[in-house]
Amino acid sequence: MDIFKTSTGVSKVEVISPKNYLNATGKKSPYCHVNQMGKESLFAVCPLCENPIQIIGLYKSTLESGRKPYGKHCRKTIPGLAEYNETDYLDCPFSNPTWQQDDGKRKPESRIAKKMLSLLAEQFDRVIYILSKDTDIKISTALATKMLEAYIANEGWRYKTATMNNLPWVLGEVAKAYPLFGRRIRKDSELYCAIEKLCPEVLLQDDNTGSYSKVLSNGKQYVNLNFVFVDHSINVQDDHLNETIDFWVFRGRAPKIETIYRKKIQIRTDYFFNLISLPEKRSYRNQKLLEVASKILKNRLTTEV
Amino acid sequence: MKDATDEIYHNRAKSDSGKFQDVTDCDSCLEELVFAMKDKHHEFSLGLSTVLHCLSIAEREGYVPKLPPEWWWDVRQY
Repeated sequence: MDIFKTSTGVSKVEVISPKNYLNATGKKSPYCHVNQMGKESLFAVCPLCENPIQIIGLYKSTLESGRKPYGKHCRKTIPGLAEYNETDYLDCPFSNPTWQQDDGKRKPESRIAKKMLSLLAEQFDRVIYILSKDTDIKISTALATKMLEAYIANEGWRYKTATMNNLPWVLGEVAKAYPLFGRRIRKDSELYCAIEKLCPEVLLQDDNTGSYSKVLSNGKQYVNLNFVFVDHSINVQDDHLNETIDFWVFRGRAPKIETIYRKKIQIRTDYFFNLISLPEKRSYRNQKLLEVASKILKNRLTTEV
Repeated sequence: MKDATDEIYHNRAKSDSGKFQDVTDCDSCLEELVFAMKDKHHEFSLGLSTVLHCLSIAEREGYVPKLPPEWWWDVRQY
């Protein structure tokens, strides 16, 4: 893998390079271990499975080794840094070159699965904020509640594709298709333009902010537009992780589904982290959404965690 | 099944002069349309999703002709 982080949970993910690693860790314990012979070993945390990794070839130049520095699972606990969990290691896209995406569920003993619910309870408002931003749809409290209920019913936290950093997009992935009618979409966004061009049955009515328009009927036709998240793809090539998910707006139903708009969202592992890391003074929290999450997740957190 | 003499079945709600309102602005619910209703004691609203639910019961119990399944698939709030 070509990325690392310095602690478990949602934390900054960086590309492995001498500058990034040394600045992030100070080359101190628990990251740097020196054996009796004086040989040092460098460690960090895998951004996907939360297990300890060893950094290989940090000081060797690319010309010498023919390869940039990389991280490798060390398959043991590094005290003070990360505890090894075999279940999560085996499900990790970085665990071995033959890994293939498995859309099954993690076992109940997965540590990541348990942490995911706590994270969702603490950061539900930011999860919804990210989804709103990526889709240009204003997600109401009611819709957010429905999505969370679907996530719980389908045990989204146990999806093998779910990690601490892609939580917002997995929440979207677990949800079924929802109607676009009545939703507010960002004015002049790509989605807005696509609907304006391809959906004569739709009236786009500006709201009083001027930034959003509501999707309504032109008064003569039924609006049968829906949106859904599909094709969550994770692949590793040359140690590099590429993760995407499609946001899809369509009209009608099978076998006559018509695509109105489809966008491949690049899942950026640092995005969620940066939002969570904002100082309290600079971060706006949506208390209504946090209360919803607290209420819905309360029982789950005591049984799963 | 409740006895038809029970108060609940005698206090019949009726549409309040056909009044209705789009409620897609509501942040707290996913209802799209509500109908103004009146009974012997109250004025209140009835959501479209409730009307649809009642229609599905009526269809199942044979009180209205069967609707095409595709109709139900296309209904947003069912």
